[in-house]
Amino acid sequence: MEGSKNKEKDRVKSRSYIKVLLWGGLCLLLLALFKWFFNYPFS
Amino acid sequence: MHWIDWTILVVFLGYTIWDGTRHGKQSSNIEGYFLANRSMPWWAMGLSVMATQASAITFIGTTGQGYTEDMRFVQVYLAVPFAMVILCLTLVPYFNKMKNFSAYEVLEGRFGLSTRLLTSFLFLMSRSLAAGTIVAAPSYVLSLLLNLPLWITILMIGTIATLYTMMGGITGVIRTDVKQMVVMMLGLIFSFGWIWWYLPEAVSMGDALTLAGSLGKLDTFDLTFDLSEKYNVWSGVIAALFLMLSYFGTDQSQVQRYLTARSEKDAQNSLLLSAYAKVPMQFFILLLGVMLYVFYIFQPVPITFRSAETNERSGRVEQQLEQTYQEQFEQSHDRRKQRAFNLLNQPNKQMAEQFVQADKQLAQIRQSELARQAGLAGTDVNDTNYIFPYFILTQLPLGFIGILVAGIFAAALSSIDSELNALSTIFIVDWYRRLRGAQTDLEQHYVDSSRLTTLLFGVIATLAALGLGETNSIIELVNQIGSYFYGSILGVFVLLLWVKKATGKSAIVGLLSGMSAVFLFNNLYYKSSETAYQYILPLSEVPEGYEKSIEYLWLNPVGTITVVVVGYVVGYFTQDK
Repeated sequence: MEGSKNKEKDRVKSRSYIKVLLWGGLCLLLLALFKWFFNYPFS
Repeated sequence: MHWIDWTILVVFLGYTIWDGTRHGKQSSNIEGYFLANRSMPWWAMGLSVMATQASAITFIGTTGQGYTEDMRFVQVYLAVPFAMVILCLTLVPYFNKMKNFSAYEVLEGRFGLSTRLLTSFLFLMSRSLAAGTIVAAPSYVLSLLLNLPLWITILMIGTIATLYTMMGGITGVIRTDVKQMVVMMLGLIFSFGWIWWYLPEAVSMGDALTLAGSLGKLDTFDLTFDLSEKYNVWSGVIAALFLMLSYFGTDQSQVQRYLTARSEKDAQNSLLLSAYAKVPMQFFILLLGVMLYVFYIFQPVPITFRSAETNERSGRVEQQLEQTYQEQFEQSHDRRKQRAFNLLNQPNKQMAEQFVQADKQLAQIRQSELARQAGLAGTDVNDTNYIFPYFILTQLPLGFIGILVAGIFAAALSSIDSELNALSTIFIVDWYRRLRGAQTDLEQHYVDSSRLTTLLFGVIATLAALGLGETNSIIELVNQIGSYFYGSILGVFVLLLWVKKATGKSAIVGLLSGMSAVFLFNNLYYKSSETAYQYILPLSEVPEGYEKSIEYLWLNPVGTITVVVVGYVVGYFTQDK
């Protein structure tokens, strides 16, 4: 019972860290898109 | 400033002192004074982490950077989400298990007292140097903003920060940081809204972005791999990762925040707040600077943002030259404004080129005037840090000037209080208490000593600030000293956690090797026209055409990797069988 509770906790933690990593990747993508859309719009 | 703005500022500062000092009664032992009895909620720690990192120079210098350059600086923070996850998985659980007071305390168990004392000494040395500039730099800007003598703003910032940090301990520091962060962000959001509202009716936000983009100011992503280039994705994701791991994982001024956590989960959540918020926050501050640039396309703008203190020294010829530049600048400004409207009415490449050309001409006149002022002053004249304060003082309505100036003070105080508290903690925990002995009947004595040490470091920082004056070159120096320290210290913690062969001796040798490697790479210069490298010692003149071969961010992985490699090799050969 204790073991499965801990496993569930670890799963929740892992999910939240994966979300953060995905957020980091999203920031990279959004910055690239921002530059692509808005910087030097006439070149 | 109007008396209403002064009142707001004084009320804010008075409230800060009261709020910071009232928590001091709870500190009857050093766990209370330094770690708030490990009772802080995650959101308070998280906001304090962010407030500590966002200094007044972040607040006004980053907007200035967006104004004068572009937004590439945001790339430095791309590593933050990744660094925070790594820390949550490694050092945070480790510190939670060890129940330490100082980041360097944990090194003693495996590497011995010498390693602990050496790393804590390096922290004391580098952050003491930094403390003076953290007080001096915003004080200079504020003295011009408030029209007060420099020594008064230095004393204001130094005294207020020292007072509530000394009395309130970490609880006072964190609780004031939370409010200071709120004031800072409100000020920034309001400024952004004000700029948007006061763009000409014919100019929408999209138009503003078009104008800024035409000038290349919306560059947020640079894939060029160049070690000598300051801001690109590679230095942001790889090099800055080492810096962020070291800063948030081993620098006591940050580590102490999450050591106050109620639980490991709270400590992790406090770091994850920065993981989510840091990049958007920096993006927003830089964008504010860019929008300020667009704002001043349509509003009258001074040729330089610092009032020329050199007027008294200038002769008639100089005054005529100044007047000429001023007239040229005004004409050029009108021309640029017209071309901006032309571009928005006929958005095409030709109109964009004309607009860019007009902007370049204006920039040249401004550079000429800055060079003229520098010639008179006998020193480099950089007004980047005065752009946002100038906007605050001349454009914002009554009352909001007070809030924004309070925001600048808030940004300064939230960084200084953390430094003072961290310096005091390291001195007491790693040196005084460690070497004297941690008997329980001495707890009150150690709390009193902690308060006294905080006062001492506050006085040193304030006196150093009074002695430093204008500090652009000093900030550069402090950053360089930081780059010697951060990467190498991270290497020691890597040895601690993952390198079984490492010993105390190998950790010290590794640390010194890491710092030596940083020294070598930091003084290696490169001349691209001849593909030639040369070592140039510090304080020597750099020959023409030579530039640093490797930007300061990359010094962090240099330090870390050297420490780990040397630490492993020396440990391998010196470890007891």
